[in-house]
Amino acid sequence: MENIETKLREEANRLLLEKKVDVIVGYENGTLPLTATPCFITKPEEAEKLVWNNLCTQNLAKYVHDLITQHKNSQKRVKPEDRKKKIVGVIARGCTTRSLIIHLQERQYGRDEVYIIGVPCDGYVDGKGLKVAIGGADIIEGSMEGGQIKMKTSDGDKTAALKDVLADNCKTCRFNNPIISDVMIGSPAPAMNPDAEYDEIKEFEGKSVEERWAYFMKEMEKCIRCYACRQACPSCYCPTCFVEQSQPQWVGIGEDATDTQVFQFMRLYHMVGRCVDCGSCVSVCPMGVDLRKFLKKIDKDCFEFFGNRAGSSMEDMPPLGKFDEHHDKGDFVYNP
Amino acid sequence: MAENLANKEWTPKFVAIVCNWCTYAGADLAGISRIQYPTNVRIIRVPCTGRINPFYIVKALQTGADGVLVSG
Amino acid sequence: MLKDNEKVGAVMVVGSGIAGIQASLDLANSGMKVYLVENGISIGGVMAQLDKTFPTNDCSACILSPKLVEVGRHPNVEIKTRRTVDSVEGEPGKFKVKMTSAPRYVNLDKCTGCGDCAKVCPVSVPAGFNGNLSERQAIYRHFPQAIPSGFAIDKLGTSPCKAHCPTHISVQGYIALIAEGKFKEALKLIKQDNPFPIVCGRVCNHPCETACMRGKVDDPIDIMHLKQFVADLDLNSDTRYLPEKKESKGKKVAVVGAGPSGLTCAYFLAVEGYDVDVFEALPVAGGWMAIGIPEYRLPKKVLNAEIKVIEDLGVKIHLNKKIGKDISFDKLKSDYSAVFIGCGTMKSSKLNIPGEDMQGVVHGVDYLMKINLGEKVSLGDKVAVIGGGNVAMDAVRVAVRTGSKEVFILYRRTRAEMPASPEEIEEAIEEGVEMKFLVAPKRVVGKDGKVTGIECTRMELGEPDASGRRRPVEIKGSEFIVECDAIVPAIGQEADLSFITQESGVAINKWNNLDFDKITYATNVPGIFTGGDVSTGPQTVVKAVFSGKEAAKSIDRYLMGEDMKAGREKDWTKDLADKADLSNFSKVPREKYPLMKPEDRKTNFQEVGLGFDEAQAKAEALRCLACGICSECYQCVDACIAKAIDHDMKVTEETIEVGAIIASPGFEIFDARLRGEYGYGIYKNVVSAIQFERILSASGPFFGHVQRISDGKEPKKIAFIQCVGSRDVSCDNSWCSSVCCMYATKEAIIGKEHAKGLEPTIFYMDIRAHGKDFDRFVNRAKDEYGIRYIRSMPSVIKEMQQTNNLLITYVNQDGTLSDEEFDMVVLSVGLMPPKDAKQLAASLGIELEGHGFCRTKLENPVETSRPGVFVCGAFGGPKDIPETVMEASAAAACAEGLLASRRNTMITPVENPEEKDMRGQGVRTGVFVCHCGINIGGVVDVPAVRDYAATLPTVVYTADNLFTCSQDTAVKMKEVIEEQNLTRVVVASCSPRTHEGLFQENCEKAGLNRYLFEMANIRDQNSWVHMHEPEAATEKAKDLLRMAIAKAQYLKPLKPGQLSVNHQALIIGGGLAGMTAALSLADQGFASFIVEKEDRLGGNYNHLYKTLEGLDAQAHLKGLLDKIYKNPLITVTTSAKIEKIEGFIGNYKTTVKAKDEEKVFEHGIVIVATGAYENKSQEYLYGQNASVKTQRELETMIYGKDSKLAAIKNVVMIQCVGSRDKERPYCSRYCCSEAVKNALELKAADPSRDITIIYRDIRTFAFKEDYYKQAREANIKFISYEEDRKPEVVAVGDKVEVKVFDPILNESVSLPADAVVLSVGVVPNPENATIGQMLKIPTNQDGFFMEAHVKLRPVDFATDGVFMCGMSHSPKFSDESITQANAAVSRAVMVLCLDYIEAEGKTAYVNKERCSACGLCEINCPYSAISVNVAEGCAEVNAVLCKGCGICTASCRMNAVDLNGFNNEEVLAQIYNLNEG
Repeated sequence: MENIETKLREEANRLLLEKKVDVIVGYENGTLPLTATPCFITKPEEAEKLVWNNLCTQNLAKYVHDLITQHKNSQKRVKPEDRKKKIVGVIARGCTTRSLIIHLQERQYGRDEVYIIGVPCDGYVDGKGLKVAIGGADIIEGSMEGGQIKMKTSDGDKTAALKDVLADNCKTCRFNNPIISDVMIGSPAPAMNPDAEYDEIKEFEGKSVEERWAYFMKEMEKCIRCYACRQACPSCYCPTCFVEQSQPQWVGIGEDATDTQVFQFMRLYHMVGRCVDCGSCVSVCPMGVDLRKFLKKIDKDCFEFFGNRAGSSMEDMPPLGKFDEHHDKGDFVYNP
Repeated sequence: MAENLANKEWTPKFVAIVCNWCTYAGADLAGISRIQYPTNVRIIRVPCTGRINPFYIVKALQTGADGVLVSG
Repeated sequence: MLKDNEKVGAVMVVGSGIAGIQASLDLANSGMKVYLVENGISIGGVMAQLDKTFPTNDCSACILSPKLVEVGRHPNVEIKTRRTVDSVEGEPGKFKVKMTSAPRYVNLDKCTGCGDCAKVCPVSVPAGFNGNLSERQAIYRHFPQAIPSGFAIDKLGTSPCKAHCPTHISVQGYIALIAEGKFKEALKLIKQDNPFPIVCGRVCNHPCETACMRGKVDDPIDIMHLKQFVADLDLNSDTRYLPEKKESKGKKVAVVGAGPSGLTCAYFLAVEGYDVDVFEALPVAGGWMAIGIPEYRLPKKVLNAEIKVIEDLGVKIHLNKKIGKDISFDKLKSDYSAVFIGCGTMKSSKLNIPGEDMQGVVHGVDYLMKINLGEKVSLGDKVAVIGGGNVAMDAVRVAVRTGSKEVFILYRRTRAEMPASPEEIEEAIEEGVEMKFLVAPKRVVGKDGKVTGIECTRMELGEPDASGRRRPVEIKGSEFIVECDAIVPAIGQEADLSFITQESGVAINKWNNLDFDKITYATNVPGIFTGGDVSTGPQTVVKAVFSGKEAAKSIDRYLMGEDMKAGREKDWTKDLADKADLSNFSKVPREKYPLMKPEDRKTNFQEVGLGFDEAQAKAEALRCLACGICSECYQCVDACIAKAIDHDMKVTEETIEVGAIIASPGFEIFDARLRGEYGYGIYKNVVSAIQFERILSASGPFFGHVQRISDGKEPKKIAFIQCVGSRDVSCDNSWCSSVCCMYATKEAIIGKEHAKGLEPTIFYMDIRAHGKDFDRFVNRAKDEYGIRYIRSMPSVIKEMQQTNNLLITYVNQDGTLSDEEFDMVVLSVGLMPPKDAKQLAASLGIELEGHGFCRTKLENPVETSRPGVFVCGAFGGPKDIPETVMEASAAAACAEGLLASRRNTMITPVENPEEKDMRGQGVRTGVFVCHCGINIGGVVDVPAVRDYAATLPTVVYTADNLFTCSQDTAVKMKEVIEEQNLTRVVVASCSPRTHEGLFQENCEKAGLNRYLFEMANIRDQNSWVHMHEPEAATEKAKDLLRMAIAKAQYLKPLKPGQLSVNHQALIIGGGLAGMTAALSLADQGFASFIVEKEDRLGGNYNHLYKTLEGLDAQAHLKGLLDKIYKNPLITVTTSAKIEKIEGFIGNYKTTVKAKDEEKVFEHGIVIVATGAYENKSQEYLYGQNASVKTQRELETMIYGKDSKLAAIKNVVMIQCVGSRDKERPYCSRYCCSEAVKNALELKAADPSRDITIIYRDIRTFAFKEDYYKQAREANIKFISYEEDRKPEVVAVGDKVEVKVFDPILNESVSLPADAVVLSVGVVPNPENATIGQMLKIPTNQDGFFMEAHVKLRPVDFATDGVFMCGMSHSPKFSDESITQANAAVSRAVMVLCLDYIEAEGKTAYVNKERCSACGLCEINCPYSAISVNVAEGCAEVNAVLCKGCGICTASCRMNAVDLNGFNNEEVLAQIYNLNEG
């Protein structure tokens, strides 16, 4: 890991020096122990801040989109002939590159506007899970070594095995290495356990309609509609989210439980073929809503019905984005 | 819903959001042919089922419909 | 030649199947006035009957219906139904067409299509639309979605019973009503014409029964007693039927005589609102009915009850008032406004023989009168009654009943000539009366002034007299005496007219009757009318009734000061419905009318007839053959609230001027009964394909459930037999019907989908899947559906007695016979020329070809032998829908070519007032709730719905209307919009699919934008489907209306976008199709640019020398090239490559590179005619051995008169080389015909040649079949092979040999060949993909271009402004390319002729702020109407291309795209208002 971090910093330094990129989105150490946080570096010397470890949680594609969109909006005030492109470099593991692919498929920016610095990934730590694992104690200091996390906590010294506290999405990740990149740092990470990807969903599917509906209701009751999930999600980039639209107002802003359901329903629907299972929404949810259960179900359906895995390649368009009347097999006409 | 199902007096309310060219025409044909069916469905005409924003279905359910038929 | 300004900018289209409809739409959309003329009652043709269409299995009605609606509502199209073209005069550009219009009996302007009439119609006839598998009423609509949607009545003429009834009651009508158990309605119908059903139900001479057509099958219907049945029911009911009286007219009429004529006259006058006084000399009313007809036939009680009804109407009967004695005739004249004289003939005629004054001679009239008035008259033991009429019968039977022992008739002719009704005679004989015929009285013999006998003389029959009966002639010296105690002469009656004064001036004729007008029953003195026996001499009751009725009509007109005669003369013998084929009716015995036994009735005056009971009456009524179809029972008239029905409509003639005519009468389906061995029409489970089509249809007789006719069970094994009435010289149909193989395959597939366990087998000769994607369809039928295909023609079908299963015997390929049992058999019946083809051809002045189809030009298949008259569809030869549609468009293009200068001269543009300024008005909604007669109002509480609407937000005005679609409501709506300053209009009525446009026009006329209108469908989707739940339906109506009103408040006034149009065309490809298109465009005045890749024009046509039908292709090509290069409107660029195409419909810019030059063309449309190529085969030693050639190479040798040809003696041709294989699973269509053509040529040049064609299926469809037959007759050999057992070509020295397995010999054979000729088929132009990308048009899996719709839009693309023709579409013959090119031009001209393209108002729009330019909308738009503007960073809609489907809106996560007319706020408003409050 150290080796990768070093290479990463060298590469970032070089890119900024050679002005290949205007900014690099990466991770730096967080202010709290055992955390990493996104950072933007624009100067070569800042490259030293960059870290790459199992604490790097957020999907940085979100920031790529934000940066480019903001830049484009600012350019609208500039004369067309004077407009400039901004090239964003990004440290990208598998799921990040999937999100980037979705952005590219959805024409949010050109491939030449993003410089992808690929990194291998062996999963990130589920912060909430870790806290549970150590019995809810506050972490005062911590370090990672050889697959072990050593912590000094309010409850004394603790250790946890990294593999036990990885985020759920990481444990069964199918794409833990970048799918596309301009430069690849380090060698590919070993495979995780994708065969178990849908185990939980299969179990969920085995339940009755009533049980599943009850589960949905129960989870939705927790939601306080802080929209953190949306804010963290790289696929949620609408200029005005439907929850904030008027004429018509789609979702009530009161405390009606059904409005919460409507919000989540529609957000889930918008994720069809677009959720890369990066876990960002889950990691930021303050109420611990089991969003992944529903997202993963959609992901499974999407693969089984349409053979699509979100962002798995530039050619693999999401089902709602590849309909073609003229080449439709039209099998339903013959096999109703 | 469960208590509704238990209540035999209860009749569900349905919304049908249908394509102008086929199902809406079919519903007209049912009329011309005097085919009788229950009164608890309200038809909303759209130019094509492709126009149906998924929101419509969710909002219909939220408004109190017990079922939504999309047909086209 | 006419000058341009003399031409007429209108076209008549004769026949309104899909061909006629398509031609009409094309013409109407390019500025021509169209008269769409149809023989039947609605448009749609056979396509409307089909369930699905191959090869996509689209629902036929679903794809046809929008076209029906479009043509029905098109302002430039006038649909004329029930028309026959009689003659066409004039020349191209200006024809005068004479037509006959048969009456519809329903006024289409008023008919709302509600169907209430059909519900009450008692007459059922087989429904032709459903292949006679179900029934419909005499008043009907052809099919539910029919256009015009109004009903029509079928009448074959007047039914004979009605015509022959002297009062012309709708006899068939009341019989039909009785059969349905509608007894009250039956009585009411009778009483419209005859107030004496009780009497006429007993004593009528019923000429109706004599005329009854049932009598020709077995026995006539017992009409009289059926009448009695309903009359007696009324008699015995609590409340008698009384006709509705009109308002009093304040005038008095006197009637002299209370007999049947007088009382009838009084009855009808009372109904009309007159005060009527009847004066009767006798102490009883009824005249002869009372005093002439004995009690046992007509009891006094029932007669009086019948008369009571007349009195109840207000008629006053004054008995014992003899005119001339009690009141003078002149006083009568002066006291009353009019007088009717119906005093009858109450004086007996004298025998005028010696001794007539002796005691014992009692004249019949006097005798019966006395008896009937209750006097006791005893005649003694032996009574002689003289005469053969009903009075004689009455007298004789009365005598029996008064105790005379021996009563006999003396009649001077024979029984056959007796005027008395047969049953009277029969009953008299039953009662012991003896009849002595051919005797005439000479002298009364008596003693002491008392009768003792009568001397008679014998007679014989001589020549017929004026009455048509043979005149009796006395046999001299044959006198003899008959002993008797009394003599009753009953030989005639006379009138007593002594009361008519000379001063009155009323003329009396030589027969002592009153003179009168035969139609009006007016005498020579104004105000004095007559009727009954006094005017005609002794006649029947029913004739007297008729005269009274007619006189009443005259009196009314006289008193109202109207012309008494106008429109009354009618020849009832004309137009009789007596021509039906009676052979199909099975015999059903006449119900026996119950009589009292002779021994019980002889001694008393009790009524002899006992009357039918209900079951008997219904059974008897059911025997009616419904000769006239419509029975004229007038139930529909009463049921129709819109007052649309008019039974008096007449045949009319009209003449219309048009510039051109298009004949599209379609085809007739082969009558499978002509192939008797298949048992169609005898075995119930043998059906025709069209019947099976209806069986499959959800709107068919069994709602789509596949079932057998015999027992309704679902069949398992079902056999389709191909070529029934096709390829069959035994029934004179040598041609192939082109479509049967495919429709049978389709029916088998759909049948299997409807009935999962179905096992279809198709018996065929060749599978002719020669159309685009057809082979794939057949392959799927075999491989995926497991449908069995057997190459064999069954020779006979037998029905199994117990099961009604069908045993099919067929020959296997190896010659052995097989028997197989099936549950059901479907006959794939062929296509015939239309039934009236000959007559139509004569009327249009065009020629037919040998088979009876229309003769067409080889150079242009839509031209007939008469210039200016074009043809399209199956009339020109059997063909499928796409070819038909192409021809329709092509014919339209040719007609337009003739009339282009008169475009837009005959159409009436709509002018609307300027839209009013609505700013600051807010939403003011007006709501109109429709009763639709009783269609809505009968179920839904309309006033309650209206009142409810008034409580809803934004509603400022509400009203309910009987018919919101009527003209007066339209006027009212306009006024209300203006007065109430409405800004929204909501109508709750029927379906927006049919009526939205109409109401929108009303809005526009009031200055309101048409898009501020909304509808609630409370009829089709409410009152009609919840007929038995009025409360729930009312609630639903409120909900639907609330939703509509809620939506309406968000509606926006829309202005459809406009786009200017460049009037030039780009044609990609200069082959036959491209050249034809350019010339056709030029004919219509439009310039075009042909871009051709090769260095010369002509394409594949350069290699064709002669067509199978004999057209000299090279001469034709030369002519075309000549015309093209001379035409200033055509620019040709050869050796050219298209670099770039920019723009869209109306505004294209194309960059072309020709040699080193770059050209830029600006144009409004594109015609893609990129053609196709001959396949380059690597098989069968082609290219390796000089003896192996392609058909094209052989053709070049033949027509190039190659000397090497002479040595070629043995020729083997191999079909399907590179076609119908794994790589190219399609048929190249023309190769079979090309092979036959070349084989015939070779054979003709040298008959000693040995020619063998090795084939998979010979696909010489339509008339090409004749050449196939010719080839077989010329001893050209045909050997079939299967795909997995291809022939082999081996080189043997310098020759070759073909090895092939012959399935008939069941062994491999080797054929030595001097030449092996390969039919190599067609491959698409490889550049199609590139051009497709430039134009955003798709290609199919084989690489041919894919049309917008395989059936109905064969030259269009989903992308507007781009059209295609020729082999870029699919492999085809040269004449088909010509047709498709013309068709493409027709479609293109609909754009080119416009200055601006108007978009639909309901199009998508983008909210830029929300858009993130993700491009999902662009991907999903089927019309390329929305795309992302990268510079702007948001999507943009091209409103002209947008069809308003809304797919973009639903795919937009940002809700940035929305759809006018169905925007999110509008639809959500509906959803939010699903529930009240």
